[in-house]
Amino acid sequence: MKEAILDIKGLTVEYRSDSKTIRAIDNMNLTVYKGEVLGIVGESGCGKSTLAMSILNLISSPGYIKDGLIIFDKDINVLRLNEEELNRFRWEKISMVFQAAQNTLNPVTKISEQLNDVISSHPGVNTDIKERVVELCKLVRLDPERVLNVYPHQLSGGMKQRVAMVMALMLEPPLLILDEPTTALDVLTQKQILEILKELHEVKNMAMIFITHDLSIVAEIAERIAIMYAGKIVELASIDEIFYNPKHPYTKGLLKAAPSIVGDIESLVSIPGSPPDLSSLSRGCRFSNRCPFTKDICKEAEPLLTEVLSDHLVACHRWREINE
Amino acid sequence: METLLRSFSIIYKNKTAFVGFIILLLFIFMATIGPMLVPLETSAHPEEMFQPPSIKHILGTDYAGRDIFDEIIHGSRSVLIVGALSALISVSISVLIGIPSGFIGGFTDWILMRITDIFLTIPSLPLLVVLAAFIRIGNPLIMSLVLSLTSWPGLARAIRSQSLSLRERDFIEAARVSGLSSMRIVFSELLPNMASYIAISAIFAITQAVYAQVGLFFLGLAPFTSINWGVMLNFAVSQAGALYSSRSVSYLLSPIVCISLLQISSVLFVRALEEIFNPRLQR
Repeated sequence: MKEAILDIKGLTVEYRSDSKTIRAIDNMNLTVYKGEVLGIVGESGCGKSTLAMSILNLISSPGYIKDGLIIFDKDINVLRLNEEELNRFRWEKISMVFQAAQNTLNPVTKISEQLNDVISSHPGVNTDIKERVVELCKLVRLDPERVLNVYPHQLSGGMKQRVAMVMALMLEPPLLILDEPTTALDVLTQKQILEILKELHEVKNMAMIFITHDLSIVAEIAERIAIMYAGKIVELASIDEIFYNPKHPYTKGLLKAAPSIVGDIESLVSIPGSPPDLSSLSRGCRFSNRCPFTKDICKEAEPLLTEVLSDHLVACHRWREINE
Repeated sequence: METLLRSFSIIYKNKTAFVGFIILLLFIFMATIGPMLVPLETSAHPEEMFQPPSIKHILGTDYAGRDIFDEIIHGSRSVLIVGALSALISVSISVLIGIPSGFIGGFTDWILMRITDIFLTIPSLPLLVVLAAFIRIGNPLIMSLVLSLTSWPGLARAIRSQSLSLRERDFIEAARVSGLSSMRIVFSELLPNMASYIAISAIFAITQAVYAQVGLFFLGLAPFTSINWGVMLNFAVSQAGALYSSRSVSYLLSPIVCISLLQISSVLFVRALEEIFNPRLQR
């Protein structure tokens, strides 16, 4: 039996503005297992980054976690930790590589000082820091001597991204969240970063949550994929199932909208319409106004995420009819 | 030590800043050990009044026959002390008010900014006049306090908006994710990013304080306890009638030139400060 490292139950996150409340994540259940790579895919604004932030209890005003439970490693209730415990929890248990990691480095301090800052704010982590940093630099293919004694602006974008990865790995957390870690990079660097991540996963065997909007990227690295749409998970399955046996019409749409390398050049089909306004949701399925298979029931009731095949969860009323 | 050497090399490479730095050093030298080298003649020498510049009196003599050069040297000390001290006080206050205000936000921000607003609306010159009537602004410390009382609010607002915008930057968020405490974020992320701004503001605060102080003495609002460039200006106009007679041109111009030089050198020096604190500008 696989052991869970992170258990999210009934998570609901909202953002409040003067006139309306936006429900960015709605009643989400998700389990991440030890040592696995889970990809989270969805279009912009579907709540992927909000999810990452809530896992670290970092949602700040005007956002707030309305409801839910986040359990790390069976006994840490993340949402119940106090300020000091949170500071220890973050980075020691879960660390993160950000979207546009180049902006996450302080522009006026040297890389080595920034690494030291992180280490010294986690007392009790007894590791030989210098050796560890050098080892990690080699792992992400950086020359430690070239990188450590300079300021961030003296490095290239890909190098900064890798420095951010070194930073994230310094305390060897059991879970690493990667929030679109390759989005701001060119294709070649993307490829390189993915290879490094794969290698890291093999060497350290840490669990990873890989957030992206690009299916082709998670295809390279993830074992399971969760497809998110408008604050909900609509389909959750292993990578092969998602690519070769998708059940949800949104997943099918996403796959059709991504170019394929093999086979004939098909014309790409985009999904018509745009995601619903998260501040005024109707009762039914969130995808119903864009779904080609919408029927009355889709407008009436919200479909639940149910296991339709073993380890394959779909939230759709009509998945059976559609896939016949 | 390494940082110090690096700073010097930056100043040396930047020619304009280097000129400013040298002039500033001369003034500091003048104010610290100058008075020990040149004794101040306080008694009047009626037989030598209004002498033009000569070898004996480099800048000539004033209405009482005293050496102007001596007076300039002895007058520099209080000008520099008050300038530096009042800049230090007003920058400290504005950092202490501005950073929590911008970084914490919410109610803290509201209350601190209302206090700042109150001080911001106080017109500085009338306040100084009123204060001068009640307090004996004799020693440099009280003088600096009075001057910084009205100079900090603007700077505090600027520092608040700086930390407000820095707070939203990704690297602050990243620092929070990596478990740095708020205190630590302020000291190792926020302050280093504002250092150049604060340093530059401090230099401008010095120039402001110098003007304000000289102005107070010139208007006769502060008691003349010791010789000072402002006092010299006051005497040049009121006692020596510099506005009406060409005999005391040197007496009037000497402090003016010194004040201007001090201000210009500060402004030139600022250019190097920017480079020192912002690694992106370094070559």
